Amino acid sequence: MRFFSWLLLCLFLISCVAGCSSGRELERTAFVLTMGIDKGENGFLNVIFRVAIPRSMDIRAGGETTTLQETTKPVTITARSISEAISLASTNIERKLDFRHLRIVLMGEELAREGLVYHQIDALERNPEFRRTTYVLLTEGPAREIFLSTRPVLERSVSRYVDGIMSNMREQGYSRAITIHDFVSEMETYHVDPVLPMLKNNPMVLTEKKDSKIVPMPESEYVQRQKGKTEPGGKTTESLIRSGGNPTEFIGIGIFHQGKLIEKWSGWDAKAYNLLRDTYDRAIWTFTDPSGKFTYAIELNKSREPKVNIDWDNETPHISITLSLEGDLRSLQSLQPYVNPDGMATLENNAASSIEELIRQVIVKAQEKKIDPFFLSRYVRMRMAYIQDLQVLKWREDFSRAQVDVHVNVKIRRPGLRIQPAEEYEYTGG
Amino acid sequence: MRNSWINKLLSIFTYEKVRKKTFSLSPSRTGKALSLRRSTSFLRSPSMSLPTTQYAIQKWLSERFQSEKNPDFAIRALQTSWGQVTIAFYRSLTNSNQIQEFLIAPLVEYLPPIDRSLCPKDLKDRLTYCHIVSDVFTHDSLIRSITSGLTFVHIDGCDWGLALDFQGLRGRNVSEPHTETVVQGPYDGFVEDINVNLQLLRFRLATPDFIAEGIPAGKREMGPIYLLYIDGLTNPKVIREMRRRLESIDIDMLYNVGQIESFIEDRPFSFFSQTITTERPDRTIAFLLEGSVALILNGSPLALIAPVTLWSQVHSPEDIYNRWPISSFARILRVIGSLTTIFLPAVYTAMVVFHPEMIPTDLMLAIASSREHVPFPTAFSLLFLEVAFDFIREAALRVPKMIGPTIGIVGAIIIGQAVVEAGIVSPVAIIVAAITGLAGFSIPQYTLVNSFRIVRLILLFSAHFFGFYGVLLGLVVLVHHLSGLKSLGVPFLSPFSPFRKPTGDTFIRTAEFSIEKRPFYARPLDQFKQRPVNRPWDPRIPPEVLLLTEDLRTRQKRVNHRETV
Amino acid sequence: MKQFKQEGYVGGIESFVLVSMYILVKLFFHIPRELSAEAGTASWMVPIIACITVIPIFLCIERVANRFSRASLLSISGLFWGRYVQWFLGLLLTLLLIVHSGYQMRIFAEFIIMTLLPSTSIATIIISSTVLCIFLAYNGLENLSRTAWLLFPLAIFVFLVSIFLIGFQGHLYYLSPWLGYGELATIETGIRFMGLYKEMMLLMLIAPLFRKQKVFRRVGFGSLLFSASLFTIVQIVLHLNFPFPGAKEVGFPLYQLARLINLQFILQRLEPFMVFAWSTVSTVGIAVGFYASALAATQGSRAPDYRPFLVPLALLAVMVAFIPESSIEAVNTYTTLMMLFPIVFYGLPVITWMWMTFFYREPEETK
Repeated sequence: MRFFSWLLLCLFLISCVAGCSSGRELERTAFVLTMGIDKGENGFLNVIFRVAIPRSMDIRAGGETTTLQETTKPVTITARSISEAISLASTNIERKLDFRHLRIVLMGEELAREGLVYHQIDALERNPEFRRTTYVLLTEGPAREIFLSTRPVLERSVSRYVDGIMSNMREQGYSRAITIHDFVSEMETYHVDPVLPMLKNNPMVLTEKKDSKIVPMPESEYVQRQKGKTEPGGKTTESLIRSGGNPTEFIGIGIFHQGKLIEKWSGWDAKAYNLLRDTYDRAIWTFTDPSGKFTYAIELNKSREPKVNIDWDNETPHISITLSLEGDLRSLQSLQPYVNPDGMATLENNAASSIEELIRQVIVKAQEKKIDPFFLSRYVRMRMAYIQDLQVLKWREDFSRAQVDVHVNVKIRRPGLRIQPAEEYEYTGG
Repeated sequence: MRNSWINKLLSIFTYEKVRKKTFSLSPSRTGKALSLRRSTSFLRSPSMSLPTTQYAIQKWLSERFQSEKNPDFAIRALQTSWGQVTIAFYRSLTNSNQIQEFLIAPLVEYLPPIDRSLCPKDLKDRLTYCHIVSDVFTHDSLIRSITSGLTFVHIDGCDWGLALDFQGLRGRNVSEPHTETVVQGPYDGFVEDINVNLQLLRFRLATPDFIAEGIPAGKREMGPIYLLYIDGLTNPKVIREMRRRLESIDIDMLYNVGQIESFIEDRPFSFFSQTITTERPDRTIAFLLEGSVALILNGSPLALIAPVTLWSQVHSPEDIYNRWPISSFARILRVIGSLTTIFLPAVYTAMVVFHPEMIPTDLMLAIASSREHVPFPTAFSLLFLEVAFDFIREAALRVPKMIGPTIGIVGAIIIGQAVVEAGIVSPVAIIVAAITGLAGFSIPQYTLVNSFRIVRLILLFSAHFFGFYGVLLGLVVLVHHLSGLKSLGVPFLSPFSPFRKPTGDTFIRTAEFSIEKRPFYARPLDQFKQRPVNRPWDPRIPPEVLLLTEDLRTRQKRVNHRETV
Repeated sequence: MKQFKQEGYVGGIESFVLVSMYILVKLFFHIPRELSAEAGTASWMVPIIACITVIPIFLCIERVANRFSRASLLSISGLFWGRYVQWFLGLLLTLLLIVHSGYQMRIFAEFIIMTLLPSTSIATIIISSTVLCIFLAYNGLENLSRTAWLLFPLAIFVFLVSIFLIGFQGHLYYLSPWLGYGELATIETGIRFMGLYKEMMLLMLIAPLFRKQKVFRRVGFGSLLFSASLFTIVQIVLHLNFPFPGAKEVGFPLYQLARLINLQFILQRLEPFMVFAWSTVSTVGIAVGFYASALAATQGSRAPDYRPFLVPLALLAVMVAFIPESSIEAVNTYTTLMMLFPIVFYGLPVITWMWMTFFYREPEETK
């Protein structure tokens, strides 16, 4: 027993004398919630930290804060590396920067174009404060610009803002939520080109920003702005036509090859990409009505894993892809009586061929650039026995020559609460 | 030749039977068993026999008991028709009316046998109103009987005396227990008088096998210690071990059962009590029936029970009285409560100070904002609250009962409002401290709560210095210590370590009829406490089972059975 | 009742947990990374192959113990070759075990610093864990095994939950190509990594503490199979999440894996719980290492009690722990030691068994 008490005493003394505790009280820590990295002048990096102000989260402190700007403060520091920026930040931020609650890292477009993203991510991988589950996004233009202009519609807490955006990304498929871990894994794997989700400022909404608040523009101006835009939102990499809300849009993906950003794909392309990469969960698809006028919408979710079969014919792979989707009818503008076995089949086939067409276009795009962001090589390696075979495979070359057949099965399970418009409706316009 | 070598090599892959023990070079079992000779019965010196003459004995009595200084010591010399009688007693301990009525009156009217000298039996036969009559032959037993409240009678010319019981007040009445209250269940608790306590036990346990073995306690003793056990059920090794430990105590005086505890415990320096002290006779009986032994000491309203396990310290007597889902739930709740009360402050400190990444971001920011104006470290504010909480507890114990509730209110106001507003601790810390304190009091065993309190503080310190790593070190040390503890040789964490199949009465208490076996930790001689199938009338019981337990009888047999009865 | 300190018997399940923990200490070190580097995507087969090759060696231990009624192997070697050989073997085993424990402690401390306590000095951690391990080992194997057994359900629960949560996040295609660098290369790696289970030798020292030979046999096989399955599961999960060229560069594989969990409710992260499993296994394992070295010294010198050896040997282990200059050096040396130590740890029982089979005749053939 005396031995035991001596042990305790020794432990206590050691811990007291050692003095260098790794603990740090919360009120002596500055939590960085989001971070942006831009390429600066002369090989420098502009690193932006968004530091949370805990006091603003205190309900009892009176005066409920409402916007992100009141709960956080951005600080930009120019340095040669992220670590240097952290150390330099300590010269003006009174608390120690802590990255354990970091949610998101924004990478500037220029950084990505010059192939520097992966070099910066090394700092995030090495330091235990950063986690590999942090999201990485690619900004169109400098990240700092987005940082300063972003105004969440509802949230004042950054973490919830980010989580909400990311789950929307998964649910609508206009982009793909990517963590550092995903990005690094794809970077380090053979025969796949990683992607990053894109975010950009909407120029229309940006003009509405006055005194750090978004004031929706008058109707006449909105109508004016709308003119000349023919493509539906998300089909091209152009910004959406909208007013009010957050100036920042999370749509589209950026494709990397050999560490460099080489392509930016639109929201529609991202949907097709998600289907092929098997990161698709569910999304609302809008198709042109078979009659040529009007549209109809189906909310489709994945019903089966994609089936990919690769046959080799003299170094030329024949890739046949079968995707299975199922879902509910969401809208039927044409009011035609489609809700019967034949009509449904028409809608399904029409939807399937539209999706097939979209996918084919995306694949052709990729083949032209000799890249495989879809990781179709995973079906090749699943049939391999030895690592050596994988290493000598020249998949990107093969893929660019490949013949790809895409087959999509769409099944409409439910028509929704309405079956179809009654036959005797008086309205005969259209 | 080579073939046999290969065969021998390959024989490694064949099955080999376990051999008989042929060889032992075990280094860890050396030394010989030494037997302990010390016990109080050896220590008492043989004492002189009583003087025969009336004067000698009166002189000796007045010298030994200092009758001039002690006003309540009475020596009466009676001149009866047949001889000189000396009566000595403490007036404070005896009832003088009874002495007059049931001792002096029969003695005066007594006629001794003429043909032979007087022997103790003659007098005993005559003194029929008193049931406790014992012979006294030595000075030693004379002193012991008078100090324990008996009345001593001596006849001139005899070398013996009689000790008779005419005891007066027996202390307070049986009342409700103070610390272990239950909602449903008996409301009687032990009192100071050992005979009343024994009565409380005996009227529950109506069997001659229930034995209360008297063991002398202390030199200036308070009274006997009774070692209680059930013959034929309690393992004799347990009884022998307990007796051996009790007899080794050579001390002035034992005031309370709690004092005995430290003399007989296996690891007296541990934070944890390895026995149970209870003031409930029903609980004592329950443990006796599980094969433990109990001690009661005159003057102490508590029974001491050993061997016990940690889990039985978490059990409440009420568990037996409630339906099984309720008591199981309560037990699980208490286990969670114990874990909370030990670990919550330490885990909170570790999470907030070392690992804020564990807490969801918004909650973390809320905690951070509540800490903005607090100047002290988290561990310190928890320590502060702990101390404040203990002050309230101590104060509530000490103050007169009339103003007791006000202490609670004052304490609540101090802690709940003023401390936060003064910016000494954060509101979250108050929540943590309050939950910790409340969780602690979910444990019925008072000594265990206090042990946990100390453990909690140590863990808090290690969490403050080492974060989660410190908590883990503390946890490993705690588990190691607990698993090494033994209560009268029984592992303290049985049946989890060493692992045995639990009997259904450890964490979860299943329905009463399904607990057929006693817990095995005390190795009771009689393993079953009920017959295997106690609900033979239940239609869900398959008849085959009843055949096996011989609960099915033909009608004919039953008639025969009745006739024989 | 006896009036002297003695060691109790160890129970079956308790010692199974204890030996498994002793083996599994290295699972929480860099070993998954090493396996991945050596065998690529087929690294999950390596522990299985190694386990199969170790089974005959355990059978040797078991046979010898059975023949001599679970005497310690050192006592048996004393019987065969005289007390000087026994003394020398005891010294050798003690030294090897101490070096082994020292390195384990160093890596443990390095990983604690890397993950939990970044600005605490390494001396504080090494000394505090040494003190803890001495305390654990001082009370004997009975108590230690019970501690291990009590902590085991919690640790294994946390461990398995984390592992499965991460496993479901992974992708099966990262596990292909299925045979790694080739069948022969994988088998060869498996045999080189026999040292994964070198802690089995503990059984030959603690054999006298078992009540029954059957229990001894079960404990041996059980802990071998159990630890092999855990090694395999971890390797599979590692590869499901980290593609193989990246997996060999992961700093602290299990911790990195646990950090991939992101729960949105109540607790955001689980890795401090993983740390719970990890430090429990490590502290108990290192304490067993201390105990084993003290026991080897005791049995080698035929001393009656191991306790006096404990503190000096622990001090030696602390000195060993401070030998490596950097964490990466400690890790690499440990891997080398893991390859070299089995020569003695496995060689001794095999040679003893062969001696027993070929040369030893019982003095009087009683049966």
